[in-house]
Parts: sequence; structure tokens; C-alpha cells
Amino acid sequence: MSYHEILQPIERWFQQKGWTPQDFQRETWTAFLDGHSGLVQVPTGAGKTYAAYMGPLAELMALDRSNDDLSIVFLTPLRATSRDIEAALRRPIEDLDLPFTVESRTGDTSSYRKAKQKKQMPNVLVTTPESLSLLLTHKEAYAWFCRLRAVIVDEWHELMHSKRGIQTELVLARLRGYASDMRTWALSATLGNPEEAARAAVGELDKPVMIRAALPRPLHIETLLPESVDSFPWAGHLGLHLLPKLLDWLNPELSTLIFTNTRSQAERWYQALRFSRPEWEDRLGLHHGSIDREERTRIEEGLNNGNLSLVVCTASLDLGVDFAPVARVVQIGSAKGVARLLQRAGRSGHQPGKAAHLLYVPTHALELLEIQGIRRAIAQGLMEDRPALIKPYDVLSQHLVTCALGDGFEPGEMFLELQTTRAYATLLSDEFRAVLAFIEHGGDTLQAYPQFHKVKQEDGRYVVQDQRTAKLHRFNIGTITADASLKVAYVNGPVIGHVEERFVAKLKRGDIFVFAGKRLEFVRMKQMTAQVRAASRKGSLTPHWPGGRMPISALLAKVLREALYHHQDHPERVLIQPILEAQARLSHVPKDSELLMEIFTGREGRHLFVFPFEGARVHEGLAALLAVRLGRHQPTTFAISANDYGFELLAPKDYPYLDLLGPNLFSPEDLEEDIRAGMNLSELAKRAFRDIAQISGLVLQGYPGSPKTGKQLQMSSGLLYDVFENHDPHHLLKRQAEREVLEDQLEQTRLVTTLKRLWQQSHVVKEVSRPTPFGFPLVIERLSARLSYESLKERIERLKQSWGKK
Amino acid sequence: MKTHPFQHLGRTFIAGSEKTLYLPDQDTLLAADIHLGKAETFQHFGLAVPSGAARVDLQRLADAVQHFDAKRLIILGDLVHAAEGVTQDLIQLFANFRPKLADELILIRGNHDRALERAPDSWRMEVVPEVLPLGDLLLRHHPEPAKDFYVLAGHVHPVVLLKDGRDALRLPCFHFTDNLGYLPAFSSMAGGFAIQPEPGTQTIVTAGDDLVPLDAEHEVSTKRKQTGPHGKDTSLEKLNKA
Repeated sequence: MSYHEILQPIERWFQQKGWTPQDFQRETWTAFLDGHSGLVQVPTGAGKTYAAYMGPLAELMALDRSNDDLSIVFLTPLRATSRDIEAALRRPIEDLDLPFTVESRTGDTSSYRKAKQKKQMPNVLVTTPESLSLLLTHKEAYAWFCRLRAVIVDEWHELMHSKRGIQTELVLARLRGYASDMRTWALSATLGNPEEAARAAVGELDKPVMIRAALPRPLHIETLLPESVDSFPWAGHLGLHLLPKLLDWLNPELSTLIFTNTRSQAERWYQALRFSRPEWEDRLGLHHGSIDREERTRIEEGLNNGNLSLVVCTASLDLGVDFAPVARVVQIGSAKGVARLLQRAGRSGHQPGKAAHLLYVPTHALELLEIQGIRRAIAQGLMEDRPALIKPYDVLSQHLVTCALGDGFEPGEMFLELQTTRAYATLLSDEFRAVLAFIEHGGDTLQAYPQFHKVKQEDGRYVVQDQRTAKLHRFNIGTITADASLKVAYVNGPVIGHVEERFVAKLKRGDIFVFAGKRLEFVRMKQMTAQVRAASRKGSLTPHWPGGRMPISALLAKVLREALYHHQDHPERVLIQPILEAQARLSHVPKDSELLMEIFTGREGRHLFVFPFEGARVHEGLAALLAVRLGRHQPTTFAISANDYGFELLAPKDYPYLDLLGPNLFSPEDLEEDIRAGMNLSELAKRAFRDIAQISGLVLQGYPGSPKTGKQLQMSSGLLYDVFENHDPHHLLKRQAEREVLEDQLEQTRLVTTLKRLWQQSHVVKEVSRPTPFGFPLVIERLSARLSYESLKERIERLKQSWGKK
Repeated sequence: MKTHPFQHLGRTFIAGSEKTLYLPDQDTLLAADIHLGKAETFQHFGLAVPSGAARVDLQRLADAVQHFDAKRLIILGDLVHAAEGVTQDLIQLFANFRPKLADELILIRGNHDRALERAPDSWRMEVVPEVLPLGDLLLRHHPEPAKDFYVLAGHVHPVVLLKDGRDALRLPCFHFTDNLGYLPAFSSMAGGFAIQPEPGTQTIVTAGDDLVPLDAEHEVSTKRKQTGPHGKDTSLEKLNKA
């Protein structure tokens, strides 16, 4: 049969639906039939799903087999979307009256359904990376997957840069070993490094076909401008200033997503909208990662069927509304990245070819500059890279135990298989041996783990024999994304959502807080659940979630600086002009060859402000570095604060910054040593270790069976880190934690690049009499207060001062 | 090791930075919640936690006994973590340390000590099921007040949280109320339960090899909730009743 004949039914189905296949869809179908794997990179809502799916479906039809084989696996990062996807994949099968079955298998699937699937897999399986990985822990894995023809990985841009992405790479490599006919197709929104993304999806052995839509969707960004900038805040991130204007703009007849950056910001805006427009109550929804899954599903369905029209959300809705087009999209505050803003804008309109529209609501003055930068980037077609992680040991050790549980593995073959993945292509045999030692003996130091026997060698194969180990591993395998959070539930009532322990720890009985858009009164803690009741009194606490502060991307930082240096005639620029003029009058507006520093003596002491415009995280690292280097010349204790635009060091009043500010302060030399000296790396590593310990199975999320045993096996990851420090300090997972801190948290690479730029720039130092528009946000938004050079005793003495003053 | 003598309700105690409490009137050293074999228990259940803490902790205990030259050592429960962790190696290790652990050694059995209903002979240790009166003190594992006695107990693993912006410390502490004295967990592998001292109580935190008394004249707070020693969230009162 020719491709034309094979694809005939698909073309007919499109006609029936009144659609015309787009070029990129046809290209993908034939590339698949040609035996290729690849990446489909088109904007959200362009029709990716059917591009990847119809080729394999056509092939199945052409084979004319009504069979029992699992032929197509569709991987989605979000189990909440699996039902929508399932429906979309079933549609052509039902319309064309085909004998194929489509089923989901996720954490939400009933155990009855799962057991049935183990006996008889569907032809098309919709699942998540975790659930797919779990299937590999069964002896039947080979029998299930050996006739696989296609694996489609949805939303790859979201997955690939995370540890779940690495898990996906590993599972795909395993499946390729099982099924020689398998082709991999990754679906992605636009990103800056599509080649790397494609390589990660299809593996190192294949040459991926890159498919892009010919027509990018036009995008209109409209900025909600304040009447005048005089009353517009220089800092802050709530942005409620523009609420009245937004209320005028919003229309409850039009479905609208209102994106915010943090969960607390979402809560505040939801409250504000509800308060200002009580008549919209029934049309209004709130959606963020801490809200209970059922409630989130209800909101998503409400959006789908038109019951809800205005939904305030966070990144939680960046994914998963692929089948729910909205009319309008609003972005409150900085989107922190160009790709993210485009992705969000792509939620609107949603018909291929139609323009996407986004309303940008700045929350403070400097964000007016940011949006100009974003316009520039979009005009030039620039987009962030999504760099993927390199060979994390925790994910690998989890995968190896998974494989040992399944049909076992021979180490030599496994090493070769790992090298076909992008993530582990550079894995050294020493590293591989260390990971094997970890799962077999606990660590390299054999005598340190006398009672540990997880994976055993049997006739040269690594296998798991112990049923308890098997159970435990399956029970805890889905932990890659899990974070330690507590349930919030009504007393004897339903769960409302999840919140970090740190927030609950601050609550006293009777405290009122706003959560999931509800005003709640804290009653008590009961078994990992914060019990609450509806509050009758007023209260103002809003949970503050950690990790909500994402720094602006390197690209956004770059275009933001350009927007600052190069005057353009956008309305935003006209508006911000008075502020830049004030900045010039009080201090200076830097040009692209300049680094601006300001010194200001205030009540609290002597402040040094530095403005590299490079994102909060890099600034934190730079601040620590400068503190160390300044401290070497003139020891003191600094308080540090940082935001996306700059950072501040605060020292006692007489600190001689002016004498010490030489160009070598920014020298890239000895960077790592100085960073180590300036930051409490082991504290940071301890935090990174939490994830690592969970993924590698060092701490348990739960214990199947006896709760008593479970209790005996609980230890905080921080404590565990100390145990490693004391008794096996060179353990590979501890080393990984340190590496993650340097590379991911401190963004070492970006830090080095920035440092080189700052080093070459000419330094403009201004003594100012009051905080400037650039400096003011740093003064009021003290992000972090950390002091260097203190003994434990000094730390305690200092902490004692603030003790009890919460 | 640093020591900190203090008076509480007319009695004299000496807190040690290695998390022991010395009773000078009785020439007796107290330690609670030692959790020997914790790492091995984890290993037994497939969790790769390195060994080594048992030897270190026994050495600390021996040093503390030697420091005070105490004639008696009483463990306020949870000497071992679980039966799975009481390996032949551990039994031997303890027997080797035994000569350094005072002439008289008594264990008040805690909830983790089920394996020690009868201790190995080589440990030369007397095991008491629940409470042990000592003068006007009552020693026990579970912190429950008793009539006519001042109670000293373990089980809770009390810690104090000190916080300032991003900086936070969790420090094991001695915490003495009007009828109960809580000992910190001796184990170097123990978690902790955060307490919030109230006026009238005395709290001494251990910090590395140092001891720092905190005064409780700060605000009265009813905030009590933190992860308990057994990972469960529960209030101090509830623990006491348990």
C-alpha cells in the first residue's frame, strides 16, 4: 500500500469533521510511516495531538489486525489531562468504527481497572511517566511492550528539563530495547533548543525528524497602562493598583484565564475580584497547585463547558487545557520568561492560524520595561532554551531498581542502553559502578551498610527477590514530583487542598487564613491534615508558599537590559519615562557598557546597591560573592537582599565601600571557592538532598502494610544528610546534592557569564541621598537576610533576639 | 563536653552538652532515646542509611559517664530503635562498651525497646518496665506527670526552633516545666519535636558542644505543632497522654 492509501481513511475523517489537515500534520504522518522518530514543535493549540497520533493509527488500520497488542503509548506529564486526551484519541476510532481500545492508566485509575489492564492491555494507552515506569517493575513488561509501534510524548518542553523528563528518557530507552518497531514522537511548544529536546526524546541512536508549523500564530500583547505613572508603585508585586481598570476590561461572557506568578498572588486577586464584583461569583474560579485535584478538575471542566468564565490561576494551568480554548488571557506581573508568556498567550483564541491575544497587567514600574523587552524578543523570534539535566544519580538508581524488579538486567547491556539516552550519554563506568554499588550494597563503603540488601546479582543479572523491597519500591516510585505538604480539610469534611508544612506550623488555633479562595479558621492538626472550618470573622493571612519566586530567564534579562538602553516609542516607554528621569536625576541610568552601583547611608546602615539586571538567583550568588570579597578587605557582617534587577548589601554605617570597589571585585577567578566561602553550601545542599533522598528511595513517602514499621522508618532528609556527612561523606547522592546546588540553584554557569560581563563593564558608582527608583524595591522587599562569618554560638545569640517575636 | 548546672524548683541538675542530665545528689547520669541500631533497621527495610552512629553514640555515652564519674547510668527508654536493628554486631559492640558505662546500668523500657524485654547477659543491664522512683523524682519514658513526684522523661525529643528570616536552627533541648522535665534525645540520629517555652519553664538548648539557656520571658504562645519524634503531627499534651 502506498502512503496515500494508508492515510486515506485519516484524510476522509478530517473531511468529515470539516477540517483540512495542515502541512505539518501530513509531514508528521509520512515521517512516521517512513520509520522515523522526531519532534513536532508548533505553538499550543495548533493540532499537535493528531499530527503525532494519526500516523500510528493509520498504520494500525493498514495492518488490518484486530489484535490484543499494546501498539501506541501516549505519555502526558499531567494525569489530570489524561481523560481529555483519552477522549480525543478515541474520537477517530469511534467515528471510523475501528476495533481498537483506548484506556488511561495513571495514579487516578482504579485498582480494578489496573488489574484488568495487566491481563489485557488496551491498544492505545494514555499514561504518565510515573505510571509507565511502574509498569516496568513487572515481570510481564517485555510481553506488554514488545509490539509497541509508537510512543508519543506530550508537552515535552515541560517535562524535559525536569527529573521526570530524565525518568522518561530512561523508560523510553528501555522500551526501545523491547520493541524494535517503536518510534518516538515528542510534542513541544516552541522552545529555544529544539535539537536538544528532540535528541532527549528519541535517544542518541536515532536522527530525529524536526517538524515545525509553517505559520506561527500572530500574537497581540496589550498592556493595561495606568493613567499616570505618578501613583504607580515602584515596587511590590500585587499590582492591585490596576484592579479597577482590569474590572472594566473583564467580561464574564468571555472565557478568560488570569495568570499570576505565585499562589499567594492568585489568592489575593481572586479575593479582590470576588469582593469587587460579587455578581460574578458563579462565573469565577481559582486554580493553583495547592488546591485539591478534584476541585481543580471541577474548575477545568467548568472552563470547558462554559460554566466558569474567569479563572485566576498560576503555572498550574500552563499545561492541560489543550482542549479548552479560552477567549482571553491576562498576565499579572512579570511572566519571568518569553517562552512562558508565549505559551500562556497561546491559550487564547486557540484556533490554528487565529491571533493569540494577551493582556499584560504590570504590577510595578520596572515591569513596564520588561514587557518592552518581551516585545523585542518576540519580534526577533528569540526564545529561552530548556536545558535538560545531565545524569542525575538519584533518577538512575530508581530506574535501575525498577528494571531489576522487572525482568532484571545485565550490567554491561544496561550500560550500553544508558549511553543511548541523552541524559546518560556521558556516564562514566566509574559512576555507573557507584550507582550499582548503591542499589546493591547501599554505598561504596561496604562495611557501612551490613544489613542492606536491596538488589542482588544472580547469574550475572541484577534482580530483586525480596517481595518487601518490591512493594516498597512500587509504593514510593511516584515520588519524583511529590513535595512534603499537608492536607487542608474541613473537620470531618472534604479535603480543600494542600499546603506546605511551614505555613501550617505558624498557625494557631483560631487563626483565620485565606486559602483556595475561602476564608478558613484553623482548628487543629490531625494526622498530616490541617483541620479547618469556615471562618465567620475577618482575617488577612494568606499562605506564602516557598519556591514561588522564580527568577526572570537569562533571555528576558537580556532583552530587559536592551529595553533599558535603547529608547523606543512604545506606550509603556512613554509612561515609564518620568521614572527613568527620576532615576537619572537622583543617580544614573546605565548604558549597555555600564554597571550601575549606588551607595546610600540610611537609618539601617550603609547600603550598596548593584544593578546587573540578571535575575534574582544570580543576584543572590553575586551578593554572597561580593560579601566574601569585600569582607576579606574589611570584615563585617552584611545583610543581603536581591530581586530580578539587582541586589543590596547592607553594612554598618561607616563601611568604606568607596575605597573597596575595584574592578577585581567582579573577577571570575576563584569564583567557586569564594561562593563556597560566602554561602552556607551545606545548608543549601541539605535542601536539595530532600528530593534526591526521595527519588533514590532513601526516605519513604509511605509504607505499605504495617503503620508501625512505617513510623520506625521515618527520618527527615536533613537529618539523613547529617548521617551521611558523619558516616559516609563521599556518598554519590551527597555529591549530587552539592552539584545540584551549584548548577541548578546558584545557576553557576549563568553566574560566570554574568560575572564576565560585569567585569568588563565600566563601573559607575553614585553616592545617593535617598533610595532611587531602581533601589527602592530592594529596600522594601528584603528578600533574604543572611549574614556571613558567624559561629554557631553567634548565630544562636542573634536568633535569640528575634525569638518569640514572630 | 560543656556542662550547665541549674536549679529547678529547688532541685539541682547538671545538663551536659552531649545531651545527658546528671543528678549530683544521686550520683546518677540520665540519658534518653538513644535509638541504637537505627541505621541497621533502615538497612533491613531496604533504605541505604550508613551505619556508624551506634559506635559514636556509645563513645559519647561512655565519655559522659567518665566525665561525671557516675556510679549509675539510667536510660529513660528507647535504648534501641527496633528489633531488626539489634544485630549480633550491635550486641557485641555494646558488650565491648559495657565496662565504661558505670557500675550500675538500668534501662526503663521505652516503646522502641520491645526487643529488650530481656537484655543480653553481656550487657549487664537491669530492665525496668515502666517507672523508677529515685528520691522525690520519678523516672520514666513517657512524659506523664505523677502525684507527689517530679517526673523526668524522654520520648518527646524536644527541640527549639530559632528563626530569623531565612536562617533557622533546630536545637535539641532540656525543657523543664512545673511538674515534668524533658530530656533531649541522646541519639545523633534523632529528629525532634518543636516546643515553645512558656513563662515559668526552663529551657536549655544544646548547640554543637555548647549549652545555651533560653529564658522564657517572651510571649506566651499556644503554638505547639511540629513533626513529632515519630513523624506524626501531634501536640505536646497529646504526646503526654499517649
